[in-house]
Amino acid sequence: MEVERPQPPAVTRIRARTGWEALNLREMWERRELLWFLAWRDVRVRYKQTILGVGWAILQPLMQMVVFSIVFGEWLKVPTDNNIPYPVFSSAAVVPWALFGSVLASTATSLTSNAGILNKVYFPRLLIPLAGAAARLVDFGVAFAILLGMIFLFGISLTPGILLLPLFLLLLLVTALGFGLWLGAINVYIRDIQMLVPFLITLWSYASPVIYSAQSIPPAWRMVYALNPMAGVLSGFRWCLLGTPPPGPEIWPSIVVAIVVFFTGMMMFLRVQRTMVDIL
Amino acid sequence: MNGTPIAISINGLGKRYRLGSYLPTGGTLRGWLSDRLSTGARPAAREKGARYIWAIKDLTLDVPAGSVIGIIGRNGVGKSTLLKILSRITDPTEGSAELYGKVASLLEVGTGFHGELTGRENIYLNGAISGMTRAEVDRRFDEIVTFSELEQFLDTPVKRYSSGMYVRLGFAVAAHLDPDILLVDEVLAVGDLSFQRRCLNRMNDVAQTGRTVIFVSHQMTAIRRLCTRTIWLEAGRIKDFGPTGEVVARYESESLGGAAPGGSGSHEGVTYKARYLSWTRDGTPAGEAHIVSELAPVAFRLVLDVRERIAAGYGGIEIFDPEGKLIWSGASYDGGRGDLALEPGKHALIYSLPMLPLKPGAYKLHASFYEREGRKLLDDWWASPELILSLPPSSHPDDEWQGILNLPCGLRVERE
Repeated sequence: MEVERPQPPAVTRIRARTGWEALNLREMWERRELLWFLAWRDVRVRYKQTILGVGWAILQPLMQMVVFSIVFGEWLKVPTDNNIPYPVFSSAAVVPWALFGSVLASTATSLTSNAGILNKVYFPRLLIPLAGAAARLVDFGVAFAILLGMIFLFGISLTPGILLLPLFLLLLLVTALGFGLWLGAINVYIRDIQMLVPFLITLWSYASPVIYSAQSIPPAWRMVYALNPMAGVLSGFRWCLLGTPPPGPEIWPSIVVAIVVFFTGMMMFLRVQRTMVDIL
Repeated sequence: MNGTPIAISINGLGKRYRLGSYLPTGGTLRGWLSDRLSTGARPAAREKGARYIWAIKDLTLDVPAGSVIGIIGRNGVGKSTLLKILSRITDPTEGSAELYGKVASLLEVGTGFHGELTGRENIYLNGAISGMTRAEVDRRFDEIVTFSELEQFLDTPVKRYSSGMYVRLGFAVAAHLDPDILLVDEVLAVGDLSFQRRCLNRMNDVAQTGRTVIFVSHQMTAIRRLCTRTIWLEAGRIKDFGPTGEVVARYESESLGGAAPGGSGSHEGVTYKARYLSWTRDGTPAGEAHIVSELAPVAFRLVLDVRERIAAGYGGIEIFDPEGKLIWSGASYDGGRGDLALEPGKHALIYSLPMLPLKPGAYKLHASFYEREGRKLLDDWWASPELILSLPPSSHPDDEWQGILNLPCGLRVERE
C-alpha cells in the first residue's frame, strides 16, 4: 500500500539552536520565487488607491531637488565639482539617497510589520527584508530614469565610468541592508528603534555628501568622513554619472565598514529570527 | 513498530515562554542582551529574576508515516505551540524533532492574503508563501478555483470578499499543497457548513493517500472522523495517547465534569440492605469495559451487594446524555419479568440491549433498586466511570448537525 519513494525524503531537524550559524543559501535559493512574490506584493500594494501611483517615486526626489536647488544652489551658492549645475549635481545624490533611506527604513521595520505572516508560516526569514529592498528598487528605477533625463537635459555627457555604477549600487544596498538588519533585529525587542529610524535617516543625510560635495570636507577629515559608507557610495554615483573626481582611497573605509556591518547584521538577524515570533 | 517508517520523531521537546515583559526592570543592558540572544543555553543562569512558563515540556513521540494524529486539550495547553515548533516558526527551548519529508503547515487560512490584491493574485501569493512554486500553482490553478467556487470573483480584491469567501479561497490553496507531512491548526471552525464538510472530506482524502497529518481541533466530531490516534495534551505534556475513540471519550468525560475518576459513584440510598458496587460491559476485555465503539449488542453488568435477604425487589437503569437529558430507561420487570428474590451476597444484574446507536460522548449511567414491599428505595446510584460511546459518527461532520441517534442510513432510488 505504501507509495514507494525513489529516494529518502528530506529531513527537517528541529532543535534549540545556540551560537552563530551560517545562512542556509540552498534554502534561500529554493524559495527564490517567494522573494519575487513578496516584492511584487509590496509594489502592487504600495500605490493602490493613490492618485499619483508610482508618480510618488518621482515626486519625492523631484520636490527635494527643486527646494535644494533654490536654497542651496541659488541662495547659499553651495559649490559643486567641475562646475556642474547644482540641480543635477544634487539629484545624482538625492536619488540614490532616497533608495538608501527607504531600504534602511523598510528593513528595520520589516519584521514587526510582517509579524502576521511570520507567526503563521515558515520560510527563510531573510526573504522579508530582501523583498522589501527589491520593491524599493522599482521606485529607484523610475527616479533613476528621470535623473538620466536631467543629465541629458543639462548637456552632461556620460563617461565610461557609468559602467561601474552597479558596483556603487551594490555597495549602497549592502550598507542599507547591513544597518537595516541590525536595527530590525533590535527592533523586535525594543520598538524605540522604529521611532528612531526616520530621524536617523535625516541626520545621516547631513553627514553624507547629498547637498554638498565630498570635496568640501577638509582633507585631514576625509578618512574619518569615509567611515560613513554612504560617503563613498554618493561620491561614486557622482563620479560614474557626472564625471566628477573619483572617490579615491577613501572608498576603502566605506567598503570595509559596509561589509562588516552587513555580515554582523546578518548574523544578528539569523540569531534573532529563531524565536522572534515569541515576542513579535 | 519495525517496518513502518517514522514521519515525525519528537524527543524531549520543551518550549518555555517568559511571563510578562522582557524589557529589563533594573537589569543591565548587557545581561538583558545575552539573555535574549541565547535560546536554551545556560538556562540556570537565566532562571533568576524572571518568571517562565513551560508551554510544552518533555514531549516525546514517534509518529509513523501515513498516520493521522489528532491533538486535543483545553486552550493554552500547548497545542498550537507544538505545531509552531514543528512548523519551524519558533525554536524549542530544549529537545529536538525530526520530520521526514516535505512539510506544510496550515495554522491559519489565507496567510499573507492582502486585501488590496485580487483573488487570483492572492492564490499565487499564498501558494508561494506556503511553499508552492509558481509552476505548481499554474498547474493546479483551475482545481484551486473550482474548489473555492469563486470563479466570478477572481479579479475582485479580496477586501470585498465576505469572510466565508475569504476562507474558501484560503483553504482552496491549502488543499492543493502537496506535502508528505501536513500540520493543521484549528482552521475548520470557520466557513459555512457545506464548506466545512468539503474541507473535512478533502483532509480525509489527503489522509487516505498515505500522508502524515497532525490535526489540532476543538471539534471532537472532526477529530473522530479524521484521526486514527489522538493525543490529549494537558499542561504541555501528553496526558493520554491512543485510539481516537477512547482518548476523546475520556477527554469529554473529564471536561464535562464527570464523576470523580476512580470512585464508585454516588449513592443516595436510604438503607444498607443493598448497594451497587460497580459496573462493566458484559463480556469485554478490561480496557474497553466502559466504552461502546461498535454498533452491536451491548450488555451492562451491574454488581449489587445484597446484605440482607430481599424477598421481592426490582431494579431500574437509565442512561442520561452529556447534557443530563434522559435517553433511555429500563427495569428488571420489563417484558413481564417478575420481581427478583435475592439472597445475601454479590449479584450481577445484566441488562442487555440490541445496540446503542447514540452519538459519541460521555453518558451517565444511573441505577436504582427497590424493595417491592412499600416500594422502598434501597439504592440510588450514579455510576462511575461514565459510559463512553465512541462509535464513529455516521452523519454530518459538524456537531450542530449531528442528531442524538447515530445510525448509518440505507438508500434506494426508485422511479415514481
